Amino acid sequence: MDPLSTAYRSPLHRKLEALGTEFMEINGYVVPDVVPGSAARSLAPEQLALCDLSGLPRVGVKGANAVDWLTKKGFSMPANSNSALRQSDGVLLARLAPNEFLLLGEESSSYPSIENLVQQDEFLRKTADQGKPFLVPRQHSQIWFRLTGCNSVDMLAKLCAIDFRDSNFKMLQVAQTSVARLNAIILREDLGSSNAFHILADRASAEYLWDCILDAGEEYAIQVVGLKLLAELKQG
Amino acid sequence: MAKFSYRLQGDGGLYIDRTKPVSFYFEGKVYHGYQGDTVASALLANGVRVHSRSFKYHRPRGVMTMAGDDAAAFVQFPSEPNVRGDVTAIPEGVNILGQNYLGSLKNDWLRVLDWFGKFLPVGFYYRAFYKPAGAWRYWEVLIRRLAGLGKVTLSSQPEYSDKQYRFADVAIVGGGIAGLEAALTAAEKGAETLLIDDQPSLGGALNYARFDADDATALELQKSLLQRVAKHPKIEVLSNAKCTGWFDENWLAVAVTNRLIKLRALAVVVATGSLAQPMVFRNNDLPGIMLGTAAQRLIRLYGVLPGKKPVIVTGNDDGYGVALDFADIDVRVGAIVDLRHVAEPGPLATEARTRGIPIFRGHTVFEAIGKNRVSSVRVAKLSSNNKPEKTNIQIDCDCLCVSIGYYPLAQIFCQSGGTLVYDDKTGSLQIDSAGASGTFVAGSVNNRFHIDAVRADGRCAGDMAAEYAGFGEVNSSRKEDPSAADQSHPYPIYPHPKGKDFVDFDEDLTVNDIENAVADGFDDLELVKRYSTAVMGPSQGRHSALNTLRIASEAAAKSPNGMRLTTQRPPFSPEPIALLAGRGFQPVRHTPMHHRHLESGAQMMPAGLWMRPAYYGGVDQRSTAIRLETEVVRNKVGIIDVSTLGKLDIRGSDAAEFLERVYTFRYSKQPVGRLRYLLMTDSAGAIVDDGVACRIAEQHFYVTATTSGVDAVYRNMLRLNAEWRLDVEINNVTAAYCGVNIVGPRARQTLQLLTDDIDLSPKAFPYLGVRDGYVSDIPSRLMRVGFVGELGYEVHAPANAGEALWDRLLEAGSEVGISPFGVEAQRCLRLEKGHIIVGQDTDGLTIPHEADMGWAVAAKPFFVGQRAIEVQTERRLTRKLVGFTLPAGSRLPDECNLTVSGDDITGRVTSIEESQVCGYPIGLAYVHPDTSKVGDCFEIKLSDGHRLMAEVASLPFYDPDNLRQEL
Repeated sequence: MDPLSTAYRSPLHRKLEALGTEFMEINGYVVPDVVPGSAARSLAPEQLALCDLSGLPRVGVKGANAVDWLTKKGFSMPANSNSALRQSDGVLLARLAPNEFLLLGEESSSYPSIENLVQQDEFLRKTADQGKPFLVPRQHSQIWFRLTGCNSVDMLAKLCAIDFRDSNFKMLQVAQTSVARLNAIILREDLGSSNAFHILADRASAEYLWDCILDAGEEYAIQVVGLKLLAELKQG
Repeated sequence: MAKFSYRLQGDGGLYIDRTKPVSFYFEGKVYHGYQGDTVASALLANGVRVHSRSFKYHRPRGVMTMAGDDAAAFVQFPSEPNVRGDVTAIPEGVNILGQNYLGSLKNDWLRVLDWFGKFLPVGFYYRAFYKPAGAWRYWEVLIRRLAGLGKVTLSSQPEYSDKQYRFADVAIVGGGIAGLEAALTAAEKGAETLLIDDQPSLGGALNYARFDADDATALELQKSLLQRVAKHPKIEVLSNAKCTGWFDENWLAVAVTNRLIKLRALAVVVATGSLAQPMVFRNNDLPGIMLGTAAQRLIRLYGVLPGKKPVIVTGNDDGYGVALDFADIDVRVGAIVDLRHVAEPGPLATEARTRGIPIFRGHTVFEAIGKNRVSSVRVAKLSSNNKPEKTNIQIDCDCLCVSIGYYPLAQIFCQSGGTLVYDDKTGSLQIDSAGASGTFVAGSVNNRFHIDAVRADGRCAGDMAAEYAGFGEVNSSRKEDPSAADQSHPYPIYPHPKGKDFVDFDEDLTVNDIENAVADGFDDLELVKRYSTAVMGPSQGRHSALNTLRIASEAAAKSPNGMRLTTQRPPFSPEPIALLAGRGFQPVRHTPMHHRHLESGAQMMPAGLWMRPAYYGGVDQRSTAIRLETEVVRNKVGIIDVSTLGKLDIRGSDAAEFLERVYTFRYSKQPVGRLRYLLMTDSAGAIVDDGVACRIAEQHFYVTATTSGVDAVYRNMLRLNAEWRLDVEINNVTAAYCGVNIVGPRARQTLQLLTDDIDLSPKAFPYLGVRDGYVSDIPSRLMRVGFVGELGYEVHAPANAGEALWDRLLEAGSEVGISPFGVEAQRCLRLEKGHIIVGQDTDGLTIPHEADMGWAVAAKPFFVGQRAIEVQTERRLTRKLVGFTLPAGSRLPDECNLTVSGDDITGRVTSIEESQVCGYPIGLAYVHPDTSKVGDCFEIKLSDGHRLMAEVASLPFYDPDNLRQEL
């Protein structure tokens, strides 16, 4: 599908189109499906790869009553800040602070729990008057990248001062840090046997960060991939 | 392939690959070497001894250390000066030159300086070139020409360099015997261990030194250790990596080719080893005179013969090992000159005697003879108090190998806070006090020399480091090495009446220079260093510090043990600036419509981190483009991308109260659906930001801030709310929403084509109103604002829909001649309307009343800066921001040109534009309050000194009754 056919576009759509990317639609969200290249057929776990998930739904929830509000909606809470938990419907819920959460909808083909929140995350709502927590518009304020591959830790070490070694940075651990001098959220969630990370950062600097990652990954032969290969990698 | 006159036959040479020949040029002549050869080893293999010229006297210099530790091996690469030729591999075809000569390397005209050494005593330049006053600037040109260190090629393109963070439980600096043992011990205890070694292959001295008569120990031990290290899953090895500095909390800087690694380790083991030291005698710098370890490196690492007629001078048993290395390759050693009188012959000495090598015990080399290389040495018998007696022995040689002691390479350890002290028992320096917590030493840097003692010390340090990093208990203890006392001669210094007995080879300092420095009253090492420049050269005292200490203490009649040593600071070895700069990261922010601007031919300009369109059109059409853009806005309709505006969501039951406290205006009674101007002052009452507050709901405000100010505003809000503890949630949503200002008489007509759910009529949606709805299919917030003085709507929408919003607005307005306009046109339009830009028309001291914005300061119980504003307004203002005009056709002042009254500065021009609607230049400027009334005149001093008379005008310049923006 043509990414310009919808009003909502990833800031990376031009770069992806330049690679000849085929896009797909998941419940109205436009994401790269297949990116032509040497890894187009399959993705080895050790291959360093980058995927733009910015089209997929995500939202933040923040406020003193955020925990109660999310719990009533059926979400399971990560016990500690800077950790995450997969929900039964596939949504990934990350706890950024005691009263601040990030919900990512990568896993499912539909995201009923998160879509309700995203739809409320528009100008038309008046949630504050109804005693609800603040829905942080992360769908539009942040880009969302998926980085996979055994060299992803070494590559990230060129951009970020956090120790991402397996022994130090566990599965579903979150770091709110600086990547290439840009505020970013990094969440480790391995894909199959491959080290993998979610990276969320300022939407306005999407192209800058994309280029920084590709530059840092060049020595590891980084490849841009689509959602299809990520799904295959996860299934092993 | 040419035959090498000094290349050993066979397959010797650990670092070279004899199947891969390499050619290069040195001083214009082609030479051949092998892959793995350094510049120095390849030149020596070709019989080239003179590699450089010395810094001051332009004496010929050749290889001394083969370890990258001295300036004698400096050569000039095409794009890089001061390349350490003794450790730098030769790239194929590279054109290499010597350094620091006039004429040719072989025949340097500046060699004449060597004859005038007696007229260039220590510290002479402190006294010689500064009188009469101003003389230095003339001398400097000449001196810099004479005493350069290579040439910087400004046109060269640096290679790509970058940086990387690394982490380890235990970092081992040094891959010698102690380092290997330490790494294995720490890793065995479970610590993730990073082993940093500056050589191509691990093993340190095991690669080149001789430990026993049959030379078997090193091979076996190295094989065993390397196998264990290679197999250990917890050990990672960084070869060819230089640890250049230790910083707080075990943060190490490690340079690996073109990468600077920033390594954070829980514990560090410094196993950097020790450096063999030179000996002081006349002409001790002649090419061919080198450290014994340098000769061993040449033989074993590069398969190069250091000389065909070697002589060894030694103060320990290691010199005998050097002699045996020569003997093993069937080179006859002329003599072993042993400074010691009564040394018990060790196994190496016994073997040397067995092989028939002449040995002179209790003798020293007193003088070397030769022009461009050593050709013989004069040997003198030593008295019982180490004084040379009559010289009656002369031995022909083409190579003199020196092995008289060691200097601990403790710089990294000292940077961590450890200290060294001279030890009378060992005749050298040793660790005096511990370094930082978690930093340990091991091996010869810790005064362990016997191979068993070094191994045990390495294991113990690894044990302690692992324990510090949280892996098990320490179950070993340090043990002294009795053999340490036999390693270094206490005073291998034999001054010659005719001088040229060099102590510091980098700076051409002799024994006499150090003694004179002390005689001039500089009897502390730090003072000797600064006065004489000893130890300040490229090798940073690695081969001069110890002998300088000995000579200075002798001259000062002090014990070297009591002398304060000089301070060790990073970097330990040179770091290219490109490495420090690395790959720079400079974030840049693009609005969602960025590419649309580029496609429309916009000239982009930075606004903080953002890129904004300045105007649309070619650079040569700037004025025309800006004029046309302003005309479109005044006459039709224009759109400008205002996505960079700061946007803050403020919610909660105390949201209005919060704004009351943070901003100067009133907000508690602001109706829902209306927006109001915001002015923020700091605690000193100075204007720091402005914007508008949209009341979306009773407990919800949507606030805009300036592009460059929003981050500071957000931080300030969070800080204030932390203090006040109001029921407020604050979020910076700047990047989440784009913004487009559609403005001009046809704005409503255009927008109506896209909006079904918002009544745009003036009555339903008046000036300063806010409405939420859809523009096309895009959920949007519309605000009626009047920054440029025309009917306008600021449309905010989700950022991901920004490009689509822009496209649809342009499409909708195509029939009425819509056009995008840039920041330059906007600046002109807002100036015509008399609106200020915070940061341009204000500075860090501007209070609202100076900017004629007292109307925005409400009488209310409190806001940040209120008291300061009250105090300042009670006083007489010293300046006032006014609008002014210039006669049509006037030169335009620059922004920041001064406003003056006679010779007094009264202010500055903050904004200036050639207004199309007015027909003459208009601007804003700070002037003295006495000349701030409409009709008053004041002077503007132009950049070239000329003055213009300007007249104060009433604001706004355009549409004073606001009829157009409130249509």
